[in-house]
Amino acid sequence: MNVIWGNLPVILGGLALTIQYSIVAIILMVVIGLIAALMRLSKLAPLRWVASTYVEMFRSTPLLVQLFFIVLGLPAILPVNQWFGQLMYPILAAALTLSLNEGAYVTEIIRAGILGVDRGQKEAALSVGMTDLQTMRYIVLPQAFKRMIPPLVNQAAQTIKDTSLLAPVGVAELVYKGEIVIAATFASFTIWALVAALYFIIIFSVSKCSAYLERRLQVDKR
Amino acid sequence: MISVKNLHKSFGHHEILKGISNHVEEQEVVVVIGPSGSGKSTFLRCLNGLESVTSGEIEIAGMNLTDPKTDIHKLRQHVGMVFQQFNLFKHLTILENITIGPRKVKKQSTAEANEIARELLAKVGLPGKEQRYPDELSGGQQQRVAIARALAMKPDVMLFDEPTSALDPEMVGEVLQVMKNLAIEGMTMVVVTHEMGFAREVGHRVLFMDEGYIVEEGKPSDLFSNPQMERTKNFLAKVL
Repeated sequence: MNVIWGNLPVILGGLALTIQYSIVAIILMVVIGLIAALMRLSKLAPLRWVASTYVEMFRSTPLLVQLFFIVLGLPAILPVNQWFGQLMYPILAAALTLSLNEGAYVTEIIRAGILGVDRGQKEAALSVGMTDLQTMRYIVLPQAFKRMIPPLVNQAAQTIKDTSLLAPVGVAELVYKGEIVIAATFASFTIWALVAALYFIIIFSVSKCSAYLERRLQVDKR
Repeated sequence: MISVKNLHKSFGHHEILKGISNHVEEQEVVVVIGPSGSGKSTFLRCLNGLESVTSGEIEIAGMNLTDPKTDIHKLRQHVGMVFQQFNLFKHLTILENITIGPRKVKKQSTAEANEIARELLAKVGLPGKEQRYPDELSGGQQQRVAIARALAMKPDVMLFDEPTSALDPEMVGEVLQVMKNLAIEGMTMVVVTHEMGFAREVGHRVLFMDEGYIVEEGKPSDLFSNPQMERTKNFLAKVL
């Protein structure tokens, strides 16, 4: 117990960073996923190619490798540290890489959601004179969104867990801080149990909140 | 009001419409009949650009649909459409279903759009359903809302794509009654239907389509009682 109390401030500092990276990545992954999904469904072939290439690149390589490559590899050939600052670049790069990786999966979730909306809904919207954009915004996306909630929550949970992969590239989040405490105390069992419990608490709360949200929206089945 | 010249439509190598020409006058009610697969729904969907035209010319509500410079969205504001499957917006209330077009497309104020929507709901016999959702209504009620939704845009022409085909028999009458009232008010209408009673009673002119052609057309009284073409006779013998 003393091990826990004594090192709690350090651990909680790591937890704060985990939560911050999670929030940023979850917001960005939805924004990126929405844009890429709309591009994949575009009438313009070049937009479709760009979006498909993005999805395949990030889906077909491990996140850890992507992080090493972008956070540690790119500075070796590009003066990114000068552009963004020696301290700032790793932070930005880590957050962005994580968001891009998760965004690739979100792209497919959103695309499937949009395709799942009955074609008649779109035709009806067009028939009253709506443009493609208005049809997407007022008719298709609101209906798609409801069916996208469960897979998006799943992806959000995955994203929170994936922030642990930021430790090897030097982000002092929960796992990183856990390792530091263990190095000093050798209390490996206790600290890893604590780290696991903290992840569990965050992710379990998120899924409970979303189950509530889903129930609210499903009450009327719309 | 509608003028179609030598309209062709193919899906891939399969030609659905093989040269349709016709002219619909203002306030005319034209009923299109024919066996399934004859191209009548495709013909109707070409009239508001839901299907692209392979070749030919369509003028509707004073605009040239086949001219690439025509703003198709603008054109559709003048051409109402009612679908077989109703296609009400599932996530919106009945009132929102009717008002969203006028509000977002015509930039009407919510108050104005709501007032028009209430009048239309009364007109189609559904006052008091404003706050319901589509899946709380019967098929016949949904289709009447769909008609009100199309009318809210104040269209010059109304297209009906088998509006009663997805309905239980006891609900067909209520929808046809609304359409009949519309015809009496002088709305220009093109109706694809299997309801021969409606065609006979309300239609000013009947087009019989088969295999991508208009095989025969005429006044309902003539066409139904005295069809000239063999294919028309065969079809009518099966459905009448």
